[in-house]
Parts: sequence; C-alpha cells; structure tokens
Amino acid sequence: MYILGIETSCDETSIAIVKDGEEIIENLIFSQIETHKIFGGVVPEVASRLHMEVLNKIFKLAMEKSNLSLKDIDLISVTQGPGLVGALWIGITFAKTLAYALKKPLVGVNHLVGHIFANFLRKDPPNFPFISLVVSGGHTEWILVEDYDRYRLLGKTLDDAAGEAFDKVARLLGLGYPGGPAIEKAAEKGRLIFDFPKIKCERELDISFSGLKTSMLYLIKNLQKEGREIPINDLAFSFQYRVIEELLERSFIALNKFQTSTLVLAGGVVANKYLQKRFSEVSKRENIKLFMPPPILCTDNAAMIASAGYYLYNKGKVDGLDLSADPSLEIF
Amino acid sequence: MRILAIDTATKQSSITLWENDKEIWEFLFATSSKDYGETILLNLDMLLRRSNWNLEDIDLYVISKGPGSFTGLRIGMMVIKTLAQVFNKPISAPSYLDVLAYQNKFPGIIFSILPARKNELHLASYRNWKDFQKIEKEEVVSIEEFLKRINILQEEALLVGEIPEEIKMKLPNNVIFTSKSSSFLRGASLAELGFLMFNKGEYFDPLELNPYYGQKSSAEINWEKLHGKKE
Repeated sequence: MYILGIETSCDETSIAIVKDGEEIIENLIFSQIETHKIFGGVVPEVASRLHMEVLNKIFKLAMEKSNLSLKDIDLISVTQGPGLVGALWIGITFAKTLAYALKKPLVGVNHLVGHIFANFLRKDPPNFPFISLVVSGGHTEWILVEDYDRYRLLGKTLDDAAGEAFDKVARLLGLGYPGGPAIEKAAEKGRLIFDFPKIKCERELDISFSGLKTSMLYLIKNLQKEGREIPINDLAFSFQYRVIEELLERSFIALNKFQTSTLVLAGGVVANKYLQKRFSEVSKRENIKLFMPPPILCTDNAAMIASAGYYLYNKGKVDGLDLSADPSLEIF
Repeated sequence: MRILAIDTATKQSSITLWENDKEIWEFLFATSSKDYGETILLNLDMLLRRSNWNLEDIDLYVISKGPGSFTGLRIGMMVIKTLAQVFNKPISAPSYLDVLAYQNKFPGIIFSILPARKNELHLASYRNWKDFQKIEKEEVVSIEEFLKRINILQEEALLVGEIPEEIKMKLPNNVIFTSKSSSFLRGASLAELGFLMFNKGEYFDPLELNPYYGQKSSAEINWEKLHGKKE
C-alpha cells in the first residue's frame, strides 16, 4: 500500500510517499526558514503564501522521482493540527481535493502523533506500550502510548515549549534564529559554569521554562552591570545542560511509574546531539530500549504523517470531505 | 467546452459548471474565513451530483485570482490548481475586479472596487461597451486619492463592487454605482470571462498560478517600516 503524506502545519512544506507505513519512497521537504529568519520567527501569513506557491510543485516532483503514477496512491494522509491555521488549510485543501479527484480514502493526522510515528519508519518499530517524549518548537509532552490510537497525556510544559525556550534564550545571548541549532553549536565550545536552579512544578511530569529564561536574563544583566564579558558559549552549555537533564529526569520518572521499558523520542529538539548522547547513556545504564528518529525525521516532514495515517487507517480511521484544520487539536 | 469555475474571494462564494451555449449550474453560497475550507469540496460534490457532470469531462478550470480574503483566495485556488494538475488541464484566472467590470455593461468608464486595509481600496478600471478592455490594472489606493480621481473625470463613470458609504456620499453627478445584486462576482460571469481569456491564449500551467493578494502581510509591512524595503 502506497500512502501519500502531506505536511504544512508550520514552516516546512513536505510531501512524502511511504510504502506500508514503514518504507520511505520519497520525503521531500521545503523549508521556509530562510524567509522567516529576517522576522526572527515564523510569520503565519508569509508561511501560508509560501505553502501555496510550492505544494503542488513538490507533489509533482515527488511523483516523478518515485516513478509511481497517481493511480498507485492508495491512501492520502494529511496533518490536521495542531499548527498555524492558515498553513494547515493549504495542506488539508490539497489533500481533500486530491482524495476527491482520485477517489481515494483520506485520513487527518494529529501532528504530534505524526512525530511519534517518525519512529515507525523502520523494520523494527517500538512495541506497545511505551513512553514518548515529544519535544519541539511547539511541544514538550510526555505521553503513554498503548496502541496506534491510544494515547494518555502524562505531563507537559506549562508555558513555552523547549524549542521555544531555546529560541528565546538564543535571542538573549545574541545567537540568532532558530535558537536550537545556534545554542547547540555555541555549547560545543562551552562548559558548565552556572548551575541553573532545578525546575519544580506541582505535578512531577509537568515542566516550565519561564523561570530558567528569567534566570538567564538576570544573569546577563548582572554581568553587563558589572562590566564583565558575557561567556556566551558557557552560558549556552549551562542552559542546554539544565533543559536536557530536566527532560531526562521526567522521562525516567514516567518509565518507572508506568512500568514500561521503551522510550520513544520525537520532535525537532531530538536532533540535538547532546540530548541524544545523554538519553543514550542513561537508557543504556537503566536497560531501557531507546528510539530516536534520524535528524531528518525529527523535524517536520510528511513521511511521519504518511506512516501515522497508514496505521490509523488500518485501525478504522477515515475522514470525509468536511475534514477541517484544527489549530489546537488534542490527541487525548 | 466544459468549465468548472470557483470564486472564494469574498463572503459570497460560488461554484459554477458552465458549458458554452448549453447549460449552466451555479451554486452561490455565503462563507466566512472559518468555513471556506470546510464547505468547498462538499459543495462541489453536491453540484457535480446534481448536474451529473464528471470531473473527467472538465476542459478548463477558472478561478478568480484576487484580490479578496487571503484565506479564501488560497482555498479556492488550491482546489482549482490541484484538480487542473490531476487532470492535466489549463487554468484561466481573471481578477475579481475584472469579473465585476465584465458583468456590468456600461457606455463610459467602469471602476471595480473592493475594500483593502483601513481607508484603502483595491481598484482597477475598464471599458466594456464594445470590447472588454482593461484601462488601469489592479492597484491599492486610498479612499481620498480615489475621490480625487473621480472628481476630475470628464465622462460618465460606473462604480462596481463593495463601495464604502463614505464614497457613495461624495460622488459627483456623472458617477453612479450598481445595485447590490450586481456588486459581487457571479459564477456564470467568471466562467464566461475565463472562457474568453482562454480563447485569447491567456491561461496558466497549474503549477505556476498563485493568488493576487495586492497587499503584503502585516508583518512584512511593519518590518519595512522599521528596516526599509527588503531586497
């Protein structure tokens, strides 16, 4: 079965063709990041206009590269939300029109579920149940996944997503946008010089980044007041260290609490090499089976949407021509 | 020749099936920025069922390319682009203002108008008494500037479209405006003008067509205020 995946929820326009939920035939991603860079963040109207310009072209390219014909497509899977509403509508309208014209079934997929399914694009996917940490520019959530279509939210960020916190702190340090890769790069040359306070929330699996951000702001202000040089690389490392240790700690609390031995990471922040190193070390020590997608499948892409669509379709999910964008779609 | 024409530029949307000198099926419906995307394919499906037309029989796709609601323009055009891509057919794309002028015969000059941002208008001018002619192409002007232009006109003029009350009150005697029912785009007019344009060779490859917005996004305008023009 060939599944066409479509992803336009934020600033990446992506079309993928996936076979049987696990084998990537094509996964084309057009990133708008260079355009949004000058604004210091994603501008929704600009994102929608760019999706509109390129989506049909990327689809044509994907079909040509795959050597498949339109009638070979068996299922159309599209991101329904969460995301930017105008951007989501581009992909959904494309998907619905295509499903209608080709007379093929359509499945709307939750973007977060999509990220988790980036780990199913392989021969030996994770077994249920497992704990998943979805950590990106828009999300930081711990989820107990019991089946392809059974999810339980265990904890989440009470304010910014981790990726957002990276962006904001990168701005404070003058490191530019996007903040994740910028901080990771600076941190490579840095060391732990400042012990940011541990993050405490009322519920043990929730997290909050606002205090950490404020500590960084005052730290920089004080250094400036004293006329001292800002140790950018060291502060980048110290911040990254604290964020990742907190993510790690909560992931293992969740694993213990629900007696599961599989941890599945998903989302753009998982592309961070230091995060990968720390999660690998601790998982090995604690005898936990760890899944992390390759970097290209960590950030937004349509292959993960195609994979999720395949498994959900097999569970009986199918959508009609009234499928609508839902910018704050929940999975629970 | 069989045509499918879609207009989702304003709150009055339409889907039209049009065959020259034969039959016309037109569905006119009210939409909002929230439900353009939700209703469009359901309505298209309904119209195709009622008419017993098949997508496979469509020879030409027509879309009003703008100006209008940014979201609306994208939804309608995405449907048209994708259908034209799947069935490998051309698209003709008159502007919303073109169609307004085309559907109102008048011996003098015609101004097509659609409100833009605060105190601004999308504007284009035409003559259509004999042949359909575009005099000035789409631009965005202030209401003040438009009133200035209207007041020095030496001939009869017709205003078509959503005309702000402020303008209606200040019109000189040689300028009139249309009734409400002629002031929004009608699907049959869109299809007919699309057909004329196609016959003149004015059509697009589905991959190369994009909406005519007439305006930058607010973020770009603010950025330019702070930093000067991009590029």
